[in-house]
Amino acid sequence: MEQNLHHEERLFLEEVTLSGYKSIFDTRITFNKGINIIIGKNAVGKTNFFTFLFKALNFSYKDLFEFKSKITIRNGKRIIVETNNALNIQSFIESRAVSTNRIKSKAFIDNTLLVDTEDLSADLKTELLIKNILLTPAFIGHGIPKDYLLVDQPFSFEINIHGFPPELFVLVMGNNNLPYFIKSILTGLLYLSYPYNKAEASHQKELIKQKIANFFDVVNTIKPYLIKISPIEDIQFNGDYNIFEDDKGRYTIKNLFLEFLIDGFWHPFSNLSDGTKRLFYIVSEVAFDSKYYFTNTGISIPEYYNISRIILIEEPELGIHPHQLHELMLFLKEQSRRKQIIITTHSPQVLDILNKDELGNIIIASYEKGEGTKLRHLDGEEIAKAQQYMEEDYLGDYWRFSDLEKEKTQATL
Amino acid sequence: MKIGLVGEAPSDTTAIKNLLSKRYPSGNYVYIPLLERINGSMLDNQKTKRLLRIEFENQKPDILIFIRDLDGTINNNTTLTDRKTFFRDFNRVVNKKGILLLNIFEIEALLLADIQNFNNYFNSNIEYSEDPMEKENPKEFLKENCKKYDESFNPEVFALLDFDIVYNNCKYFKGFINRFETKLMSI
Repeated sequence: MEQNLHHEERLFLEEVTLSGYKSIFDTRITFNKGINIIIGKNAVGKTNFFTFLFKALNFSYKDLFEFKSKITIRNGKRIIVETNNALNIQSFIESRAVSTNRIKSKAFIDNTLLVDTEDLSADLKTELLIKNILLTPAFIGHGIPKDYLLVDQPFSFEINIHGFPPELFVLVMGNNNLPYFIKSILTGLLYLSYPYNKAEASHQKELIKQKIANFFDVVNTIKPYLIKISPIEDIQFNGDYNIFEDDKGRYTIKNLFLEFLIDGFWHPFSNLSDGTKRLFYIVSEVAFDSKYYFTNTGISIPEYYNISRIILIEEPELGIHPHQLHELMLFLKEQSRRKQIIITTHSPQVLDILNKDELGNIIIASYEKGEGTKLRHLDGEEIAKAQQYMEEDYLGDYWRFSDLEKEKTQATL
Repeated sequence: MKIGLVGEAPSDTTAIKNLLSKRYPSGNYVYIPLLERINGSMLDNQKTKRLLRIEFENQKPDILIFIRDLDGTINNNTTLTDRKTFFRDFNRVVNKKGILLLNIFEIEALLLADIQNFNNYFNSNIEYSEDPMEKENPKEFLKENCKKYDESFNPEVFALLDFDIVYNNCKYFKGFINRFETKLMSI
């Protein structure tokens, strides 16, 4: 019991070592609490790093073969989860093995072995859940999600009086690529499966509608941020979705989606500008405080568990007006007081959000031939120079006009 | 010896570095471009001056070459005064370690000073034997007479120029090198 983590302590990612995915041959980096900003030229492997890191944080290693990951999570204690798949593809072919799964994991709390397992879902995740080591990772990639259910696509689902609807359950449980905001809403919709009350059987449809309306109160938590940062003045579920009932106690809700109020008119998501879509995507992923959280160990309810969020954001500046980007960065900085946010960017304006005492939160990504993607923090000289720039002008100027990203050996022609 | 370079474009500083390296090779001289991502219009403003001071204090070059185009003939007194004023102002923030390489009309005039090597590179046949810095719009002249030429080639072509030929054919470049030598000796 001593090793249980206190509920009020929030976890943050302190260090990660990854190898075995695309350009990530052997990449190690430490992170700080709050906001961390990764800069680096195009094609140095920032997206590969985020993709791999997201898998590692979810303990979901689909499409990975010979890989190693070591993540160190910190609050008062240091939790280390080491995972590797020792399977060599060549030996797999030669041995005619029937499975490519040779994934092994070990977890430690303050150097004490917590679990040593080949069964991630049954052993590792259970132990982490028992010890309250719960993360909700989110990965906000470029653009907007391809399948943006409820937002860009109407959503239809079935609920019944017998328990969780299987299709919706599988969709929520089995899809790590669903945006956090959507996954949280769908998880809430799962709990709509218990509307049945014999005394009220005659007006089940009204009850379902009422529950959906009540549930939307949670979604409203993101409204103030949307109003401040984007042109969106209000959001709601469309009022004209349908509810169909069959003779087996099943209800099908058809065509539920979000609508957006801009300049006094309600619009579907498809009518919004690319920049507004992107702002909604980022704000909803970061600010949404759901009643339900989908963590790396399963669905959890924050009344019982303290959920720590780690949010990876690729280039928040894409398609965003500079004034709105300023507001967005202030928002992310504020949110990073309670959530760890790791950003990649090509925008000096994004870098300007950091204070002089946060220069350790800058990470430089580069690609070295034969060694793949490398990440590093600023050294002492670079920090001193950055502070000098911040006294005279802006941190972003250091990046824009000087030699911040140059390798030390290449600092001269 | 650290030689700093500030120019109107990265291709200008690289081109001049490539030319100077012929006489002042990289083994003995370290070339450091400063503020690589500013352009000509940004060079004259106060912010650039502040940033240059930071770069100078951090990079600590022994000598700093300011590469500017006059964008006019030597008789253009207004622009000439502007460039001299620029140099005087900016030289102050680098502890007077600066030296001005003023190209008349523009940096491409140095290509005219060794037109044979230019022709060899582009397989062109341009003839030019006058003082290159008396030629108006030399870049346009080169483009009109050599369709393959574009200023983005400058760093590569400057690396092929013969330093002595440029020195002997261009009196302004010769004057610059003589002042540069004097400054080097004083360090």
